Amino acid sequence: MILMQRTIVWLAWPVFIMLFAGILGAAVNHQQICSAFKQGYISKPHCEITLTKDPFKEFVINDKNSIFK
Amino acid sequence: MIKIQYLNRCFSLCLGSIFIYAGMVKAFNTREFADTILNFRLLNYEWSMVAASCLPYIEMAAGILMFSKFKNKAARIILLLSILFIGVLGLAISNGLNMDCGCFGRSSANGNNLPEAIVKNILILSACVWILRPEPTPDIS
Repeated sequence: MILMQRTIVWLAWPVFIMLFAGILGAAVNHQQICSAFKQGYISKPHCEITLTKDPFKEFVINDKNSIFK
Repeated sequence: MIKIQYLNRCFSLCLGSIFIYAGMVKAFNTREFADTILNFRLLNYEWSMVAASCLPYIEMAAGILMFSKFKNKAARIILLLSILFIGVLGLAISNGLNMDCGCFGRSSANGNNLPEAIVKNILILSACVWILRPEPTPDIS
């Protein structure tokens, strides 16, 4: 138990620094990460999240059983 | 005792320089490094991009800290990183991959340098263990 506590304390500082540096790196390269997740490929220079449709409006128009018809 | 201090300083300067250089090379070529990570076949494309973005900055942080008074803590980071690298390189060798490790960016040779990279990482690990070894207690008697 004491050994485990010591190990956790021993690792806490480096893990904190690694997390900090990792988040910094992710923030610097966030555009490439975004495009990789969005496109599955890095060729796009940046990531844009835009809503082309209004889902609520779409639902009301297309719902044939709507009571508001 | 003075010689040991010099050796400590020499190790920390070498490790610091190596990690700052390796981090900078990879940070400037993120896409290339993401391709290298993808070649290890352990992560998919998206997560290899995340790793390629984070890892160089972690290496640079560890390298910079090696030049400060926190070199013991930086040595812990480098110790963890080298254990991770040895594991990944070992997995790649066991999977029969024949590729460039990409430790310092993509080398011009493009040959198989995985065993060589493992040896280098073991040397780095040994230097870290040396820096982190407990200080000898002064003999009072």
